[in-house]
Parts: sequence; C-alpha cells; structure tokens
Amino acid sequence: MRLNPQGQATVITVGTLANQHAYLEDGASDVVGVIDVNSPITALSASGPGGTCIFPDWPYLGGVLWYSPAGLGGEVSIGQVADRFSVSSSNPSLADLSVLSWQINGPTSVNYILTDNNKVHGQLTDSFIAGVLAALAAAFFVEAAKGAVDKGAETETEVPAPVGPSYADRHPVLTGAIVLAAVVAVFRRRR
Amino acid sequence: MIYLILTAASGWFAFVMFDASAPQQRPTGNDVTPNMLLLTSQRTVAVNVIVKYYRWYQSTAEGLTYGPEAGSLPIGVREVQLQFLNGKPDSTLQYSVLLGRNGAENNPVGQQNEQVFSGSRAGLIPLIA
Repeated sequence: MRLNPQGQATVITVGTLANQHAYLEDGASDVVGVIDVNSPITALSASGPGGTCIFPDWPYLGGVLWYSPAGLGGEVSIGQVADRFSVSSSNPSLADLSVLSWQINGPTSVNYILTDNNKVHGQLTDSFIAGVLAALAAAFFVEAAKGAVDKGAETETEVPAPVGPSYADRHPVLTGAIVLAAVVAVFRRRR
Repeated sequence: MIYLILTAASGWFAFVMFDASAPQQRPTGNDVTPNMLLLTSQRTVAVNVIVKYYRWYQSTAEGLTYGPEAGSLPIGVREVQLQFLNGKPDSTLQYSVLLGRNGAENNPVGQQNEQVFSGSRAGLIPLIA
C-alpha cells in the first residue's frame, strides 16, 4: 500500500462474521465480548526485541519484519440498543447506555453485559406464580391436617350432616385454589 | 386425601416455577473475546482503527454499501477502517490484521473490491496488503 506525501493512508475492509454468533438465545443476560484490540505484538509468543516479529513460516506474512503500531486509537461501534434490551455494565464505560460505541486508546478489550428485559419480566412473573403456588400448597397441607383431626373426632361423636351450606362454604380452600389456578392459567396465557 | 394430592401437586408446580424463574446464564455464551492484532512494516506508523458492525453489506463496482447498524449485538458484518499515520512519505507500507479466537470473517473484501488475503494458522487469520 502506498503512503501519500504526508505518510498517511486509509484502507477499509469488510467481512461477514464467521463465528461471532447471536447471544442471549437462552437466559436473561450475558457478557458480550466484542473485540480485544491487543496490540502490541508482545502478545505473540514469537515476538522479538523491540516489539517485532518475522513470522518465518506463515503464509503472506513471512519475510517481513513486523512492528506494533507506534500509536493506537480509534472507535468500536455496534449501534443503538433495541428497546427490549438494556446494558448493565460496559468496558470501556459508555457515556450513553442506549448506544454501543466505545473509544479506543491503546490496547482495549471491549465487552458489556446485555440484559433481555422481556426475559427478566418473565422470570419475575414465574417467581410470583411460584410464590402463590407455594402458599397454596401450604394451605392444602393445613387443610389436610385439619381433615385428619376432624375425622378422628367424628369417630368419637356422631355429628349430624350439615344442611344448607354451599360447596364453597364447605371447601373454602379448594374453591379458592380452583379460582386461583384459573387466574394463574389466564395470566400465563396472556404472557 | 384430596388435600394431600393437591398439596403435592401445587408444591411440585411451585418448585417448577421457582426453577424456571431462577436467573439463567448461558454456559456456552461468548466467554471468549475475539482478538485483533495490528502490525505494520514501519516502526513509526500509528494506527487509528474504526470497527463498525452492520446487518449486511453489498459489494459493488462503485464500492461498499452497508445495511443498518447491528444494534444490540455484534452480529452480521464488520467493517474495519484503518488509518495509518506518521509513515515514511511516499513509501510502500505493508500492514496486517490478525484476527483470532472466533473473530474470523468470511470472504473479507477491501474497498473497491480489492482482494484481502486470508489464511489460517494457529487460530489466527491474517489480512495483509
């Protein structure tokens, strides 16, 4: 590549990412490693004195004395964060958490934690329903215990059959459970 | 008896729901950050690197055109713009971008459709011109 009279040049390349897959397919949040600009050359085991390397056996690279950049700066940009996501932390830090764009100054590892708000909301709902069901289980257990005690008492004294009370009056917990189950089912279906 | 059955059933469903509501972290997520190593053939050269992620790109005779920005995740295509400074005036500069640890690109092209060499060695893919 030919440098201009000021000793400058610009090149642009573009390619389809081969392995940098979409994250957050499962789970509510994940650490996203974007890129690690890890010059200088001392990162390679083959580096020589003064941050140089020859790569003698590499195709395309062999025979040239390579140097790390004397200075390194720039920018990494992904774009606007979609509404359903939120960024909880980032390295380097972001001035605006809704826009993924970082300045590079020297070797930099760019990563951030992305949270899927929809999945977080779903987990909170599941947690609430689980709490309701646990309370229901406790109530059933108490009711079962009460039934066992009542049965023991009935064997000692004959009690006349109750007249008049409705099914809901006779089985308040069971009725409540059925209503609650219906509410939970409707709630989950709406999600 | 029915209450015992209901106790067991609701307890089981409560457990299932608690389990579903537990925070889940993908064990196979991007636990490796892709690497980029920049090299040049002149000691004094400084590099300004601009990396942008887009949904897609199109390569035409007029040049490269890009789709919308990737958005929330680094997916799609990656544009790498390199600005070289402080080189020897009117000289020939060689540069190389080594991409590794899952940071590879398929069929990379340069501006004006020029070829970008790529290879594979020890997990690194060099782009050199």
